[in-house]
Amino acid sequence: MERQSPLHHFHLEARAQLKNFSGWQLPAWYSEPSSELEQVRASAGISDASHLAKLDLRGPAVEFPLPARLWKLTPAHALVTSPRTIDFTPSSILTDVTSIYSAILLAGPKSREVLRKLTTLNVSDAAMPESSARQTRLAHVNAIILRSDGFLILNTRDVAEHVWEALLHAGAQPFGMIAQQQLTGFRHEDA
Amino acid sequence: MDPIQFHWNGSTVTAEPGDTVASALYRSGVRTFTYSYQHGRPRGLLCLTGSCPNCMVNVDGVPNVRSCSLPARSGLSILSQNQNVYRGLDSPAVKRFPVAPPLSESSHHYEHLYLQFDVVVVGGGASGLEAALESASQGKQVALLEKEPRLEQAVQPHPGITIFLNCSCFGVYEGNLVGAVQIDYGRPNAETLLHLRAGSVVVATGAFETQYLFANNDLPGVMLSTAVLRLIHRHGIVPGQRAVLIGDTERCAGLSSGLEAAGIEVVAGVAVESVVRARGKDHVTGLVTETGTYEADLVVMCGPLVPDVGLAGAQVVSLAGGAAGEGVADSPYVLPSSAQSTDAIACLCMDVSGHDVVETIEAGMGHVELIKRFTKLGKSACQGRMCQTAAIHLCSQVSGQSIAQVGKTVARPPAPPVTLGVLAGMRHHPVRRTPMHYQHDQLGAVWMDMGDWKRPRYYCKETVEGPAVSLQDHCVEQEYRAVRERAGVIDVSTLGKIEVKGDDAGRLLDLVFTHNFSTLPIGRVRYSVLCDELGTIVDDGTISRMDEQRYFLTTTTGNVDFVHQWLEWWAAALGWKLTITNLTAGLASMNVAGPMARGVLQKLTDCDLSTASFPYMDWRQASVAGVPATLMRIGFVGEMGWEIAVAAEYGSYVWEQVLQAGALPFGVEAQRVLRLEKKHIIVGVDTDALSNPYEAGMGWVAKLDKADFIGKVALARLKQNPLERVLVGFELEGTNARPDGSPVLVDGAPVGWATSVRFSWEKEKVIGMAWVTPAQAKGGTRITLRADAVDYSANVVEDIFYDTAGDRLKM
Repeated sequence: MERQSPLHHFHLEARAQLKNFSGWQLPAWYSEPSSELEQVRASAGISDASHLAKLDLRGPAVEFPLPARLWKLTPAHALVTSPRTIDFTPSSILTDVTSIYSAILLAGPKSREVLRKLTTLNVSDAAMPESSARQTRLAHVNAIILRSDGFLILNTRDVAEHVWEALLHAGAQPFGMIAQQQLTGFRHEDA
Repeated sequence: MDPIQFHWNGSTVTAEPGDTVASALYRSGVRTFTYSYQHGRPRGLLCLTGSCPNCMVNVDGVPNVRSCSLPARSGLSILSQNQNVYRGLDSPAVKRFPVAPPLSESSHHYEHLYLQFDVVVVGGGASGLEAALESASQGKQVALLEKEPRLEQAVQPHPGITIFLNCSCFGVYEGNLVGAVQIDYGRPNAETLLHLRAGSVVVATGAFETQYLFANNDLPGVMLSTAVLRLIHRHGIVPGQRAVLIGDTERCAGLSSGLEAAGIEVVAGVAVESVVRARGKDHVTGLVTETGTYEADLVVMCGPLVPDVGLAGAQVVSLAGGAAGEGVADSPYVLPSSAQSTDAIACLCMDVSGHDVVETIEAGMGHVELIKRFTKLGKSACQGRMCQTAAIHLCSQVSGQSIAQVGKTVARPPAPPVTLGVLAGMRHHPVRRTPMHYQHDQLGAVWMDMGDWKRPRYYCKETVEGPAVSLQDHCVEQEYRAVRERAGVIDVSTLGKIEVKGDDAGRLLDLVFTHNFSTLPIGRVRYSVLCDELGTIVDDGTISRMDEQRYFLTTTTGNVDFVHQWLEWWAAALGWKLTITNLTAGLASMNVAGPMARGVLQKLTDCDLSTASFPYMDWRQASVAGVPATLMRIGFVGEMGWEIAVAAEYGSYVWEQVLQAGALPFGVEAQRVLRLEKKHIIVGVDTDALSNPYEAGMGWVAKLDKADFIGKVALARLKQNPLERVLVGFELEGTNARPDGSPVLVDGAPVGWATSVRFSWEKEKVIGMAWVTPAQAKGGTRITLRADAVDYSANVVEDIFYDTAGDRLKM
């Protein structure tokens, strides 16, 4: 059984080409991968990255092998993300939160213009450099924003569609997994 | 290029490139732009700088738009305002505010933008530009806000300076938050609200020219020098033939040569103190002074300049240029004797005359803040720019106080008016959806809002003739019978789910709940109540022990954030080691209930569901339709049932499988009837902010024999005290009405209220729960419910309405 993103309904309505990416049913493309990539590189685009594995870590930082990345939210609270399943032993300080959070990758030179319509957070390069993480409000809901290949926006799944719609409204265009893989450099084996 | 043409009160006006609506109208011969709000007095151009209210018009249905700031654009439909007051059709005493029609989603572009700068400079004049360049040369990022479509002087682009044109700052707030509205004049209703967070703020808004106070000073044709100069220099319009100037000799002389160069005959320059009144009906025809009368079609006031510091307010800002008083001569403001006439209009926005101000002062309100509140002077669009100086001097003159003693009114944002639309911005009201949302939609869900969540109230695909109420009843009855007779399934994903794990998990739950959890065996589930220190019921739910140090809690839909914070607060206060995670969004949960629930669910799982191996209030890890799931044998509706929790991404698949296995979906409304028959309370519906377990008939939850827990002391005391009120069940007599929420009367006096009232298909009657005094708590007591002036008789019922022994849960 394939896993479904909280944005599944949007993908269906947009007549996206759905394919399996590491067990998740996700849009390979909406119109055409190369034009989507071109559009993102020229302006701003959003892509469903809800398949990312996510761990919540309370306590001191622990090393995870690549492609996993660790994001410090506070001195005693971190998030681990990975495009593929993370091998870990659940403990009282380590919780799998993959299903709790949706993830949307916002990329392109106009990403900041989009964010500036939706959040009071300072998203300038100086205030939020590559690899930084912030907890904030975005479109009136809580969000975690990670600076990686653009901005990775995490929300609880129940408001994912709301945030996706707000990002569209703010000027971002959707792009599919093929373009996303080219942007992030991570390729799912079965895609 | 096509000429720019727009509509003005039904006729067509042609504009030249660079025209504003005001200049185009003036060029075409329009002199009366609008009529005053209170008395319908004709008003024409006065300042032409966006300070006064005299050029406000209705543009495409939006009222109070300053035509001097609005670039002329083809297709605009423009109306003057308050014509009916002028014609005597509307009573001036009626305080009418023009109402804008609601804008559809597509007819406006209101956006917000959040930006951060080292320095924000308000005002793009010479001083503002200088301040911006100076800061930028120090490597700072600067925002320069200018309300006009262009800067006064050309400027080279500077990488450190971002210029915002057509951008009015309306306020400086705490923490150097600058609010401004940038208007895109190319589209209708296209405005952006800028939230600028600044390291420091420079206010360089310059000085504005204010008017003199004399009889008929508001007549069209009486203008400030700014307006005359702008018409001549910016728009190439000669505003009149014969002009009289009012003001001090030096400024009149300076202006005079300018007007004559433009071909205007300057008849005289007169001192303010000698002015008696402007003459004319709908337009000025002359000026009467103490020494003589001058024929003129233009009266120009060389008004005093006042530093524009309305933005400074209570915040710390730097003032630059005219706003700091630079170049503003400290000339005294002169009031002629006619300033106290009823035709001398001090406040143009609200039609307050010099006479009104004097009367107010004589009535004992000699302070400028009192004058403002009593007369409304200074409270509207111009924010005191045209009236405050006159009012202060008039107050000083009449009351004998010095100008300093009279003081000024406190400036508060918004300085210029802001549309409510742009404050609201894009519609981004959050909606929370469960993983099965669109399946409910396809099943014909009639939605209800629970906070931001959407839940199916009931499902209805039929279109039955008749009133909507009976259709709802019809659908809810089908769902009710499915649960009581076969098997139903309800989406409970909105209910709060919290994981508590760590060394001290059991201890924390022992502390915050009324029951013990450190002794709960792994594999078991227990219902409990969370009370605050006063013994009030705050929330209820189930707690499952997943392993030695891990618990799984459910909460009510609206309370999960509170319970989460409550747990975190107590854990932090005690320094206990725990990880508390809100799992709500990560789980898709559904409850399968009914006498056939076991058969339905058994089709999907290998887990032995027999009571022998899976008794009531147990949980198991199992695979449901091939998906890893947690099954909890719990229920709210009084039938055998299991709650199935799976990862959210499998929710829609598992829901589909459960429906195919034979369960019928039911919504919140059917659940409310089902649980009412079992007298299960809903915290916050049947209880209020003061309800304790004893009066709610749930004294058994208070485990006073256990070690200390939150609320224990209060509960022990409450147990000793006689009850003041009791939550009871009742049956209504001889009616199908549902007086939900109505008061309960005894001998005509209210003693409580009905908390939940529904038709019970089990009892074939309307049943409910209500708060009453202990005197009515005994079974069979007659009570009266009153709704919409109709009295309903009811009998108190002590028993549970359905399956008193609770056998059906344990089948």
